[in-house]
Amino acid sequence: MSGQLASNTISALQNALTAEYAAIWVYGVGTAFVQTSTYANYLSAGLTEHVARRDAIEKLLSGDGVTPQPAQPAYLTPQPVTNSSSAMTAMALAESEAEVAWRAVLENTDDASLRVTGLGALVDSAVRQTRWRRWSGQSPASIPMPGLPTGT
Amino acid sequence: MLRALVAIPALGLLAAACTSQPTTTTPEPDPLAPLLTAARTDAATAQAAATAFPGYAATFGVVAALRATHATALATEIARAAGTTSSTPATPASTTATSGATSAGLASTESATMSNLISRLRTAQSQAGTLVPTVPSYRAGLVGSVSAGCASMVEALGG
Repeated sequence: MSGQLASNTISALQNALTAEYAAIWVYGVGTAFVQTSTYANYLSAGLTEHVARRDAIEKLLSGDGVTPQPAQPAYLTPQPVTNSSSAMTAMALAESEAEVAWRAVLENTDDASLRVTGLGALVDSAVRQTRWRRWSGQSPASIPMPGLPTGT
Repeated sequence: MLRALVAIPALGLLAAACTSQPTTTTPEPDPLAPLLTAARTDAATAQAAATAFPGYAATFGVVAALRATHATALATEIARAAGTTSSTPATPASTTATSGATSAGLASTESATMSNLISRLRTAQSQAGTLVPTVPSYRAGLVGSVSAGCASMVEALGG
């Protein structure tokens, strides 16, 4: 049925979709630089997760008669990705932006099911961001308040 | 625009400052109160552990700071909803967050204490997570961040 989603929920979901496209792109770039099998396997799992979230948002929006906004051909990273460490830093940043977007989804819906989905994404991104920070030597690796723009 | 939706609850502080008479009925306990108690307890435990196990002070310090951040955020929101502000104490936020908190989970070894804290963090993640679908939307982000912050801490500890 169309038109069931509130306009602020739609806006939040479109922003989350953008964050998921960006994460997919950044993870894709990362595959060229993250070769060690443990890291590469984790990267692959993260890529799968973000693709699943992208698909879920697109389905939710389309099902409501809303056109999902399209992906960009590329996304800007604050620093160039040139090696494993900078790739991990970029993926950690992509996760932190996904956290901000999903926290906003939580704040812009009263649908319990969407809240559960949003929480799952927020928690999963927080864990992935933490892991990339740990592996790239950023300390502390933990993020006190994932989803706040400063993370604190 | 989405940031404005987060900022709007702050306007309530202006009206809340003018609140006068207490109600005569017993107020409903705030559903966030157990989360606040747990955060304060964990911060106190981690702070005690940093003293008890100086070789691990940095790690326990990170846990204490993270849970103190949760306590401050939760306490601020609880106070706002109750019609008071939490900005009056002259003591630093970390003291405010942990004052009066007991430390549960401080064990005789660093590893046992760490194991206790990880277990408590997992519980806190779950308890906060359970509230996310039920609280008003302006609280859902706060509670979600607390849940995710606990998950992040467990991950950082290798749990």
